[in-house]
Amino acid sequence: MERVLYGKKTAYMMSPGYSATTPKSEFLKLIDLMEYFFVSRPASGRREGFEYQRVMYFNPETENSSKQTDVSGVAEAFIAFTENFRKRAEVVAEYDHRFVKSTKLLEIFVQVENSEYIIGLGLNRQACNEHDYFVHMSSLKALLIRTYETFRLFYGTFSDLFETGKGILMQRLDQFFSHYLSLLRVHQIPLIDLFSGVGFMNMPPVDYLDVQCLISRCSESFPMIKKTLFLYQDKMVEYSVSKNDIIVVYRYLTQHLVQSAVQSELKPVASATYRETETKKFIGKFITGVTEDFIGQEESVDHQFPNVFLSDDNGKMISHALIAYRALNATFCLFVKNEDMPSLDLQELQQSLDSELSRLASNIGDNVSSITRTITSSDIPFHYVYYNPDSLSLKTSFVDSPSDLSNVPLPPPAIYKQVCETFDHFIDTDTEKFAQVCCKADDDWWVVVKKVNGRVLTLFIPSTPTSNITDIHDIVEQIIKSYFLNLFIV
Amino acid sequence: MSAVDEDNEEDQRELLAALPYQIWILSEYGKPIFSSCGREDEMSSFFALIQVLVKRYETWENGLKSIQTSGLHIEISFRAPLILCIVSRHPFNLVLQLDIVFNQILSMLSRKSLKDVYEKKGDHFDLRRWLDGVDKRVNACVKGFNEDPVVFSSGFRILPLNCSDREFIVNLMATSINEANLNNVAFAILVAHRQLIAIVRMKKCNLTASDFNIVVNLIETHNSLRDGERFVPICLPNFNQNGYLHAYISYLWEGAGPCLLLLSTSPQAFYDLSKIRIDIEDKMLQYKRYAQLKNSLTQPDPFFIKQMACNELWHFMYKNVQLSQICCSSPEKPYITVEELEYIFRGYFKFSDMARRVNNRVKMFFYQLETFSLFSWITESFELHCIFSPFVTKKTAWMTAENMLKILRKYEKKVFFTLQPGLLNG
Repeated sequence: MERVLYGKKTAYMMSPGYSATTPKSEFLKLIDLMEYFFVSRPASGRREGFEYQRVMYFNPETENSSKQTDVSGVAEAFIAFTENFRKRAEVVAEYDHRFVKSTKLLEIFVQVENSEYIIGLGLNRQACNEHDYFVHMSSLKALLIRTYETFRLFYGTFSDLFETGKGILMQRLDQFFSHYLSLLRVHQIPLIDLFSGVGFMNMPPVDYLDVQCLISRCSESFPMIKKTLFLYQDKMVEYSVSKNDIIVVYRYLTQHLVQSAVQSELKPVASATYRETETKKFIGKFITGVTEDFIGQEESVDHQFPNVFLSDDNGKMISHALIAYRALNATFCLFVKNEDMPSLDLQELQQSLDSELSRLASNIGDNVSSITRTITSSDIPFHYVYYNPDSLSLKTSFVDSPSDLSNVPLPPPAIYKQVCETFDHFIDTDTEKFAQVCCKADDDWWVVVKKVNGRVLTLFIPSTPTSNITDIHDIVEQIIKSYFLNLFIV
Repeated sequence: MSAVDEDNEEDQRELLAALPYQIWILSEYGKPIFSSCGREDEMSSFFALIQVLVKRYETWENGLKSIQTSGLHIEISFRAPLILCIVSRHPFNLVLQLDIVFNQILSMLSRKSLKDVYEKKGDHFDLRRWLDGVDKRVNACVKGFNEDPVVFSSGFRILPLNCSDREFIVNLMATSINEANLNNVAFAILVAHRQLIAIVRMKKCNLTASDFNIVVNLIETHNSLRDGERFVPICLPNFNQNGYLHAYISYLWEGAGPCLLLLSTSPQAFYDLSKIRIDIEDKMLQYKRYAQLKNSLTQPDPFFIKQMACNELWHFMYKNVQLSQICCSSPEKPYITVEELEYIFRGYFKFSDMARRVNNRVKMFFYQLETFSLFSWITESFELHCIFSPFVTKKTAWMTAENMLKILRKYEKKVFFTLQPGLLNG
């Protein structure tokens, strides 16, 4: 993570990949593959001779203005052209996309905010080949959308910023993307980028109920708390943040906030930010608003907590204060609208939260160690990716904490391409709710994808040259019985 | 915009949105040449935009290949001086389809003519003048894309026939042509239902599967006119992309039988070739198995699945990789009608598209959905694709496949063309 200066404050920039301890070979930096990235506002470039004004942000900034205008102009042309094939009454998705393939580039254009803005990303084919990276367009679209939503989390919508001033929008875009893009990473297995998911904590029902009780009591005593999120370590326990926002909020919390909190906790006691008076009274502490580590806009005049924009029921982005309280390994995040902040008594909050949260965290901690992860000690070596689009649960063996380092070898890069093509051709359809594919491919690895009621389980099984479908059927049945038995139950 | 213009735009939009699949052909100067909906002049603004986009990418030393959004795939192929375009609801096999359509255009014009035409006649030349009947040819291609399970597998589909009958036909064709002292017949082909019955050729000539596809589509365009004889020039791009052969097309037994094609290098060969056909028909009458042969060719002996002894097997496709030949089972319940067959063929097409995208590195494949299961087994020597009932177990599928291989190998002489075709003089 790097320190970047924003105005007078220093802030840590989030690293938008996974934890720093995952093997490097599983990720690639987007900047190594990227040809260009831009944000444009077509309405600003309608006047002849002034088309360049539509470009709100372009990376690399060294690209000359006419090329920037051309690239963004061609994007508009593609969008307008393909619009002709839509029936007038056809409902358009929230993030409408165009994928354009050419001999040298792979380009993605996504329209956001009622099609008023276009975000464009171009990847260089040669660079991708050199890095053995298979470009799966839908996965990159998901990544691009998350990138936009991350910006929106900290700064609000493009339209709102534009209203305060075009220069302000351009400045914020530059402030955010110039740095963010240099850190953005893609996963070698595109499916993991495609499935925007959240890692859920496996928890005994009693502990889960305890958490829910804590949340309800807190919300009752402090009615200005509108949304909450409960994490244990880096796993999700419970949330009431809107589904539109949860992915980026979760990533920000786990990859930046919790990480930096853990790091400061591991520092020796004589750290400068440690407040002596609080240690005797309370076990936990606030991890936002009391230290200098925050991101986004300069601190609000009303309070010292960072601002994040969350969507309300109508899709409008409302600024909230992010209050995060951490005790032992549990992090409890509360979102309060800015206007309600003055009525919140922080000391009262801490008083009411601390002991209960610490007790809960301690209980969960005891149980976590007894939930042994058996998958990595399995006799049958395999890798998996599981995704449930309803709960947004995403589990995978490709990104695990180091203590679960599996000795199963990674599949060859051709397999990543195979799984994406299999997925696109046979699984990712609206017409079939149930489908199963077993495919024996390169180096005799088997890729098995099972879709039941929208939930998708993908298995990667290294195998022998002589194995056939009956052999693999037995292996798959065994794996599902041992580790995934309840995943398909509705 | 006036009310009339708005109405027109609305019509156009409805037309574009309604058609699930379209092919567009234009010149690299933006002039419309062909459109599936038949109204290419009305689409000139779209054609112009495609041309601008293709040329813009060219200035960036880049080649535009495809544009995609949800539910829409536009594949573009720039083969100077033509730009070909497919607009489709699904993304499978589009590049191959463009290749097939382009080859079809070449078969009408030849590479050389195509290259020279705009240089000699100018950018504004209307190529449609030289492409009379192109709509029938392209429609024949499209029909193949949906109804012919073999079309994307780069192989010849062979009509199953008794071994000795096939040998008789091959020898008959060869002797008829050689005895008439004709040195200019490159190929003599007998075709029925898009399947090859027999072929003889000059020793040094070879017919690729892709050229055979052109021949088959040519026959399709003359399908409705089975009586009489035709003599048309044709260019086979893989054989000789700059020259023409002259195809004598006629159906045996007054239109009731298979189609006989004699491809000659001479444009004056019509009468000679006509006599060959009469000779062939006459000599067939003297064949001891004439009745059975006629029956086999007019009502082909279907390759029944029942022989494979598995109730859950509904359809299969077997390819001998070395011979590049494919045989398919005949339709059986529950997939009999054209629409029903198109539905399961889509399984084959999706598979072949996927396999191609991963550089054909798939060895075994099993796909189970609610309406059928597809099992594919690919090795260096053969490809076997089977459609089973959705309830089939993998064990049954595997055992059936192994069993099928044994049976198919036994019948290879019947279902494949294993004779030596290089018998013609010249």
